Amino acid sequence: VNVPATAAPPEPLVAPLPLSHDFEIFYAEARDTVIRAVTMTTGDRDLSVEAVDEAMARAFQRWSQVCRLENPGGWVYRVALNWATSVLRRRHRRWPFSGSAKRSEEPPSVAEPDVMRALAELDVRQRAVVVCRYVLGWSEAETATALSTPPGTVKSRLHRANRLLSSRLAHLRDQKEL
Amino acid sequence: MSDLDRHLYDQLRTHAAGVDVPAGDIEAVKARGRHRRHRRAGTAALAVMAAAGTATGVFVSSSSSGGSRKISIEAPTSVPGTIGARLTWRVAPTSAGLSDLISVSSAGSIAYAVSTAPGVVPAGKQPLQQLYRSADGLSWTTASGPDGVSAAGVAVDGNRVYTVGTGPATAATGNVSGAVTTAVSWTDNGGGPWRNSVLPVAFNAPAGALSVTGEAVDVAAGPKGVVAAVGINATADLTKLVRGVSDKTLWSANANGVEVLGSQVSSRCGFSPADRNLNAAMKLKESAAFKAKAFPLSAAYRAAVNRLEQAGPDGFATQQAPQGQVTTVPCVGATGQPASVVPADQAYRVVRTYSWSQLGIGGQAEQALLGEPLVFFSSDGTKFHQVSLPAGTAGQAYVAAGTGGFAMAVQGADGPPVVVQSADGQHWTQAPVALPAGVTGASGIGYVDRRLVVVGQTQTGAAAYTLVSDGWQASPLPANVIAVAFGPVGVGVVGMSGKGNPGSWQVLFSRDGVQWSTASLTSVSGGEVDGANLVVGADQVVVTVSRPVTGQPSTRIPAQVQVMGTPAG
Repeated sequence: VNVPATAAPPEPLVAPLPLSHDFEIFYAEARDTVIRAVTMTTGDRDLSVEAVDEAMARAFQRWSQVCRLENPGGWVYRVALNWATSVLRRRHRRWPFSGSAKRSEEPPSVAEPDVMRALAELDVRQRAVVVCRYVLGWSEAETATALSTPPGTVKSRLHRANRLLSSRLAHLRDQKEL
Repeated sequence: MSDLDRHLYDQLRTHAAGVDVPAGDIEAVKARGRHRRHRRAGTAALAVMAAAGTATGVFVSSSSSGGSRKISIEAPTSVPGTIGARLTWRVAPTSAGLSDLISVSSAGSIAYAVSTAPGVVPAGKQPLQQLYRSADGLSWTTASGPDGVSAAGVAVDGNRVYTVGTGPATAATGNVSGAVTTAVSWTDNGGGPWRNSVLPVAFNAPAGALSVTGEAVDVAAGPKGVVAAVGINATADLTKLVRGVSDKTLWSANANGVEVLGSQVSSRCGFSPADRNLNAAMKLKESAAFKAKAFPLSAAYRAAVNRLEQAGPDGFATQQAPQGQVTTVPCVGATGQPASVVPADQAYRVVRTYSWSQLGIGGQAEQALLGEPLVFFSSDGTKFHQVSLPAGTAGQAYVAAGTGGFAMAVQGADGPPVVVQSADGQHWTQAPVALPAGVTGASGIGYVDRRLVVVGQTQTGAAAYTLVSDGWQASPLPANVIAVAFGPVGVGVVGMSGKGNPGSWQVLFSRDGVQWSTASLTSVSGGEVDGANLVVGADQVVVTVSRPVTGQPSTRIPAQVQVMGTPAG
């Protein structure tokens, strides 16, 4: 295809938005949610903010491809989690998860600290599945795609996580029954 | 879902909602992304993406003999004055290629690269990137690098090897947080002492007012000399520049200076704190329960939904009211789809303006704040001085050197890339023909057979644009360009097309930028592909292919395969 110097291509009837603008909308809509999800997985709010910003930068770098994915937010979550994992490894730090992520000025008073303690007992991969499933509300299939993990693995991790959480939180069930 | 599951679900969501998220800085994120984009140019990035694309039509024949597989790829037609692009591929006896290749350059049969060590980089590891040397593009050995400078780009010209990189800040770089020294270093091929030439970069700004968050560099060397381009991410702290300004003050920067912004202009994508409910309202509005009027709405949601229904064509901004520096405000329409992006100084009233000189900022500091690359030239590669680019160029620059001079693809901050050229490295003008409309970014630039080739991205895919007598000739590439490399024998591209994971991996090659051949990387490497990079040498193209990981995550390590493509004739 030769593009002559003088020939201008026909104007599209509706000019598509530049991709960078599209990214700005994605960033505005997805950033906070993904940071909250990564914080729930790592237990370190500041690290999660850093990780999501890095993942967002990578998403912008290849936005023309990422925006075509079915779940760009899932891609950002996975990249951010991998980045946070590698940072923690480099720092020779154990997972900081303590259920004491930085809270807003007015934390919901109904939050149950036992739930967070139980979540902290999970392996980070199980926690990621739990967060995708319960915090982000993704289906098992969507979780599998987002984490680049086979659906069967997601299922088994979720099963093991639920078993542990059930055993640790049995008293809540008892309280509810009362 | 059991009661416990539901309780757990509620509790986790409650905890997540309680995490305090600090305000984001989208401009900083985009700037980081641009720097990363630069790192990919002409190198490799392992990525699995989904997209659609096409490739040039080719004729493929294959043969097998004694376990060694050969596949010949040939373009079906020939154009007068062009060189055939046929390659014969075979699997190489070596398998440990450069995994995370930052920059590569070759002259004659010698190639230099800035990369991680040959072999697979295990997941989660961030190994050292340093200078490597190869005589065949297959086997790489560590090369001594310049002292005190971390090389980020390499260029080989005859017997001279140049690197450009950064080192610790000195007093000369100015009182600027994060500033580093940038230097071009050189040695004679084969190993000799390295010598450094510090590029004259110094920021003129009040103390503490400017911070540098990263630098991207590129270098090209040819018979006319050496050109180095330095892209600097810099941000200003307005509280250090203007009295009475706080962290929460909204402001915008442009070529003239700084605009302090006030209240919103409601007719242009206006928003208020109440509009935080708009996102939720959009989703709510589309839900079946809402359509069936199955539940009552709170007053806030009802107000948000009402505003959505009354929204004009530009709709609403969905982000929270920004603070600090802002460039644009994204707006979405009532359907939730992107509608427009409004410059910040149109979405908000300008209450005060300050010129850069009023703020005490000038020269290179002003250029860095505006995202303009700093370009330096040396006729002999030892002493550099800054040169000017034509007006309208901004963003990261990719440099190429040829026998007739230099060329550069400069990424605009928000617009399409611009190609500029110079016969002597000192006087730069825009290319006689602009890149075709629709090109949104550049992934690499170089000369092949004396023709200038720009690998560009469009909104729907990618293409190689070759400057011929009557304009740019576009050759379609796979939608996702993963790696680009220029070398003495031509230009090679690895790309992926097709939706899904894995997509269709292809390697394309041209000796003149006009005739291209393409081959399935899955076919020539004999297995699945998860990532790839390539080196183009004097007589062959080498592609290092990473296989998908298998096994348990804790033990999974992808295998590598190297394939060689040899041009016919």
